[in-house]
Amino acid sequence: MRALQIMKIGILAAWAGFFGWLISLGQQQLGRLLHPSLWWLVGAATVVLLLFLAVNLRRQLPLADQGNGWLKWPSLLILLVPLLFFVTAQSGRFDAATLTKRAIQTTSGFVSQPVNTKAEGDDNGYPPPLPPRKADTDIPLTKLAMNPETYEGQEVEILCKTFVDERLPDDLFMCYRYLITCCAADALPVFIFVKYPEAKEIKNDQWIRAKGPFSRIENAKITVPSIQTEEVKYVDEPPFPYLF
Amino acid sequence: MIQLPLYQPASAPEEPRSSEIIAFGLEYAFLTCVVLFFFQGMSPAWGNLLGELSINFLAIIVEALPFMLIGSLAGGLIEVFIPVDWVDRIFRRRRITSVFLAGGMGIFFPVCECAIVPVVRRLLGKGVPFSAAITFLLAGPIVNGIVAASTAIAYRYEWNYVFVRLGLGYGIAVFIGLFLGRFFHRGNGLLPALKAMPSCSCGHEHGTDRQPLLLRLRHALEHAGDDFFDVGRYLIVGAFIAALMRSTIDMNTFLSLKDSPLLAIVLMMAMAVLLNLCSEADAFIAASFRGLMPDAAMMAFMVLGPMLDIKLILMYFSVFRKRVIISLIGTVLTTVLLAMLGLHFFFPNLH
Repeated sequence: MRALQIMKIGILAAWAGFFGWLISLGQQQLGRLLHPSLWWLVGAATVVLLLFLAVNLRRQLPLADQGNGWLKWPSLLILLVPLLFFVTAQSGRFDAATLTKRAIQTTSGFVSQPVNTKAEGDDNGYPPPLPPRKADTDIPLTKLAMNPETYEGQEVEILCKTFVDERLPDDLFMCYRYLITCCAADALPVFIFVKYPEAKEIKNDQWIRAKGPFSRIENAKITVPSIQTEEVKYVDEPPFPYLF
Repeated sequence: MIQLPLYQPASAPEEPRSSEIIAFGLEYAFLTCVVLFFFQGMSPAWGNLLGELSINFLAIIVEALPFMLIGSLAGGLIEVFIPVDWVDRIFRRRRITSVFLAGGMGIFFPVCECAIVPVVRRLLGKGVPFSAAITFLLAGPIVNGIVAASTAIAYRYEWNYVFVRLGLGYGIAVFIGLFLGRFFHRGNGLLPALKAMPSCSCGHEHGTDRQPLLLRLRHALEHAGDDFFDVGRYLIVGAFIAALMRSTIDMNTFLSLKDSPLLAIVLMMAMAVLLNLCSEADAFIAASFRGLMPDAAMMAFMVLGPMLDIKLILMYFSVFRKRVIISLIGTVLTTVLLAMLGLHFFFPNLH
């Protein structure tokens, strides 16, 4: 019975430690899972888990857990499964395959996703995914998708991931990022078309920067934002790849 | 000097019950499958799927587990601080009125579907009538201010969507609470551990002012911790299945079958059950189908999801008997389907 109690204390300690690490040192990892406006939840959970841990350290095993203790082991081990998958979550990425599953496609092509109006502020006080650059050119995709008329004809710079689709003309490719509302499970792709003479040479699923005049493409009652550019630069993945 | 425990129930039986052995087998099988999948996923062919699934799984857990912990804490506080007399006065003496009250309790206690199960467990333990508890369980994650705000934002402040979602959520929950209340009660609907009245058999003296506050807080935390261990595993199994679905299901599969309103509603209901999205986020996914799906189909997604999805169904096993869960699933699916067909017939365009 003592082993069962030690196991419970270990589980509480593991989760409290994991959440505590996410909210303090592991914020970059947390930013890949949860919207910054909900990070307080992780802090609150850490406090609750520490309280549970404190009372369990001074507690005898509840009567309900006495008896056939070996039957309880799998149910307790299940509580540790997410921590195992955190190992692979760190290197995992939403890529072009995810885009084709999550973006709704019609016979006319991809349908632009509706954008959360909260996203206009974009970062809610959190370090922005893009380093500070010229304010008039460095525009998040969410703003371009939401208020395309504001940027019509202006030169804008985008940072996003490439998606090369065979169905597109030779001088056109797509560039996308994911917008999360609550957590990465609800991430929706936000994308822009990039008109580029050497579009066919573009590698798939690479982070790029591109600068050019902004316009809108109208096709089958669907308005899609686009830019025209002469230069595409491959860059490293930003620390916070999602749009918030 | 304080002496605990005040009451010592009989010790647990030495021989395991058959239900415990079945649960052990299922949990063991789940663990084996998950670990095998994890190591299989290390190969290049499965690498992308494992990576995407891991992100979805962790994201759901990191969002849902804190809500469940807060719900457990609320449940522990209810267990220790809410007197049985108070519950008796408010709920048990007014069975029908209590159902209508329970449908709107989410406005005052905004809880999402991950947090509501531990809270309902403790409310039932306190003696809240079965029908009122079912109503709160179904309506709480929809009829609350946070969900109203997220729906309004997702639909660009077209308030019709908000009112219809909350109104249908309330109406359906009240109807199902009253309907199931005719067939089930605490005696035949709850797991044996929850049936004991008026409070749990933990040995603590609850709902009285006789104990010092700190001691009562400690008892509340002990109960809350027990709820975390009882309900948490269902949440994790459900979240894993949801993540697997989210990582493999192509949204366009649903879109190709949208031409019939009936089919569209059924498909969006299926998606609500399979995707297991939080009720605060699901409106954004539903809104991505605007112009592609009938409004009633999107509404079916937003009303059904917070009432019934894979992780919720698994969590219900920590409260109800199997016959109640089957009846609940059947009733919720049928009622939502009929309500949405009615909505499509009478109000095809909500904007």
